[in-house]
Amino acid sequence: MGPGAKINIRVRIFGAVNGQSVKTSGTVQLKEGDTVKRLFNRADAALGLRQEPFKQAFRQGIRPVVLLNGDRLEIPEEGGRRLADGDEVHVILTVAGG
Amino acid sequence: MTHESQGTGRGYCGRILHVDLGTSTISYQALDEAFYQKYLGGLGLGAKVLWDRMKPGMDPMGPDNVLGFTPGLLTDTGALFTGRFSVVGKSPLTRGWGDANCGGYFSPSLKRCGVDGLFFYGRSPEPVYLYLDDQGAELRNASEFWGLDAIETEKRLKERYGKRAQVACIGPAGEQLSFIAGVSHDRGRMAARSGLGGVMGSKKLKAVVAAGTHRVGVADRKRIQELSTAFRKRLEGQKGLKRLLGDRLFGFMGWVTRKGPVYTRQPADLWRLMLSKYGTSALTAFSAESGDSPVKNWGGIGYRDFPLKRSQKIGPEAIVKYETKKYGCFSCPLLCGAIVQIPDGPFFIEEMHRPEYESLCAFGTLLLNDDLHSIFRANDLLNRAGLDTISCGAVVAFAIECFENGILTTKETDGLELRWGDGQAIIKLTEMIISRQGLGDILADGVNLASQRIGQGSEAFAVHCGGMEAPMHDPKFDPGFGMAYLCEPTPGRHSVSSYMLLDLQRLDRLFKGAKKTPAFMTAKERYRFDNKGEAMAIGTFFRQLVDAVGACTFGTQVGGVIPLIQWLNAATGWKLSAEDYLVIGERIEQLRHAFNVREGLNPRRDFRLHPRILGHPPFDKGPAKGVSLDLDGMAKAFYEAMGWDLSTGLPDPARLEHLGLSEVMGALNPDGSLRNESWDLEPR
Repeated sequence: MGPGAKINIRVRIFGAVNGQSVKTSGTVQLKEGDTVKRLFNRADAALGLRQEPFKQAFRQGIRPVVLLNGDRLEIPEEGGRRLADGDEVHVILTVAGG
Repeated sequence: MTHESQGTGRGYCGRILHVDLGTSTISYQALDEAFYQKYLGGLGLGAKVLWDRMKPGMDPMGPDNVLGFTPGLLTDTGALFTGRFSVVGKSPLTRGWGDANCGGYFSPSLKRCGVDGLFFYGRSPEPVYLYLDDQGAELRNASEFWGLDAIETEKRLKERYGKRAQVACIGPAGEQLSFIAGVSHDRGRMAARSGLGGVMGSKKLKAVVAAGTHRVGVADRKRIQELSTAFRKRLEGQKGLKRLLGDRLFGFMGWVTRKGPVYTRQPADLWRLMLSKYGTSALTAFSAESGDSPVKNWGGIGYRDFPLKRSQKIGPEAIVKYETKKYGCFSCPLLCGAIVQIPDGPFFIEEMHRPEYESLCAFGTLLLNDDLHSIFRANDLLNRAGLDTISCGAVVAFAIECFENGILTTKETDGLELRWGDGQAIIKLTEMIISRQGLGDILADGVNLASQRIGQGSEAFAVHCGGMEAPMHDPKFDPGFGMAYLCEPTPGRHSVSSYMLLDLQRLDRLFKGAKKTPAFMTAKERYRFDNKGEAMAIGTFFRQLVDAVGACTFGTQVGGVIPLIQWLNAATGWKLSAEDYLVIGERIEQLRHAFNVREGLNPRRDFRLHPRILGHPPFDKGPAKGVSLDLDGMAKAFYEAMGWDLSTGLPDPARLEHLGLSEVMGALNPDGSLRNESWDLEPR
């Protein structure tokens, strides 16, 4: 793939956002070289999520758990990580233990 | 109909009951105000009585063990979230301090009998139960109930004594002396951990029936009501504002959080909403994914081995459709409990408590089992048998892994093929454990003993913390759990403290000197322990306080500042500060720890966590990829904060003196070894 080529990222976000249960998944198209941060900025619009859970994830005082292909990413510290075609990103908005 | 008590009029009854089951003698002991100011009630009262009255070194399943039931000091005073009682005794699993607690309605009924604690000694020659009410207490023959399951026992005793009577009892597992049996109440709620149901069975004590009607008096009932009303309103929130703003309310509050050090309702408010809707089952699916839940006997990875498409089958949305009604425990406005009916699937269940997260994980994620009906069935079986679902799930996981590795074969399992995720086999094995049939007899006392009995390297699959099966939160996800699993006098306890709990409780708003501890930190900070000991210690002291007053941990996590201190002063008429109460919490913690040291136990040495819990070796994939926890680092940080000696576990004499526990040091051997010479007991 050359620069500017399209890549597809499979995303899933679930947990509680703004006091409501969220469980959404889909595919977000980005460009080769785009980062996790870019994904978070693009995902809500790309998936048509009016609730904007990807943006809200960082606004509710809880640090979300983000998995890239199953491995934990420290966000925002690792927000600059470049994504590759076929990557899978899970965002888990967990709160506590029971 | 209830009556005002003639007791102290200060939130406590001023007396406890001692029952010698060997001689069938019952005696009351008066306690003065100074006692309550040092230990409050509940867990604190239990710790002091057991410290005074138990010989070190004796058999937990023998007649010398003392078993206590202690309602919290705030129970039935009008304070919210305070309907829990503790069960205390020496644990057969750890051979050290044991306790467990339970909600429901037993705690206020016991207190309405005019006692702040019941303590059982000796062993009855025949099965008995204790009946007590306003008039007094009496041991009665329980032969007709012996052999009945816990729910049926409770039902029949309530039929006999009326709906007002509340029952705590054991099922067949306790009768058969299982080390992982609990004490049941409210048709399947359970004081499950520490194996105290087995201790109760060893005493031939089937049940306690409390049918009191005298409410305990308080110093300032109006003030308590004001505090409770305000706290209830705070939890209910500004409904009108919420309707107006809808989702924007939380967004706005989040904005405030980011812009300044102003406390907002989140994340505790989110947790409250989740609890109200789903109970603790809310966590099941995403905890498997995030790395919070242990997977495949702590050797698997949720993302790979139990992905969302499977964990969602046992998640909250799958369960909520079986709910028939929601309920709350005594004095609880949250209502995180629910009753479910299971009309479909292979196992009809007329009525059952919705399984909690711990049970769903122990019989689901831990076993790679997405067959929800088999989990419902196991939950019902265990509630009836009176067995701890966490420990039993861990035992089943252990057996499956032994089978998978050829250590157990169909010869030992009576032909049962044990495979991950096989719901039918899991149920069959659970039934064998309950009835102590065949392999079940080897497994019924927990993974530690089972691995010793089986040998052949099976200890590699026996995941426990000092004998106690590990709960369903992985310290590699929240390392605060690791510190608590290792250092708490009842090791492997998930409800004491962790970074998530500290974040939700916001103890910095309750106590001077407590610092805000965020639940989710950078990786570098998350796995660093040297700066966490103090916060974890304060969290632990707070937890002692919570258990001493009979409060529910969720009441401290769901937003706002729970007015425990104000409730306590209003109930008792004392004028103690928050810090004074935190000292009481520390006193209880130090005394429980000293109990273990007197038994020759040093947590750092004797409660070591299984290597899988620590990530030794680390996973090569998943949320905890590359994570290895530093056990000695955890111990050092917590021991330093507590003033405990790393090599012996001995507490700091100066600190004990400051806590009014100077006599404790003299009861401990200078090298931390078991003190087993003759022991002067407090007279009853």
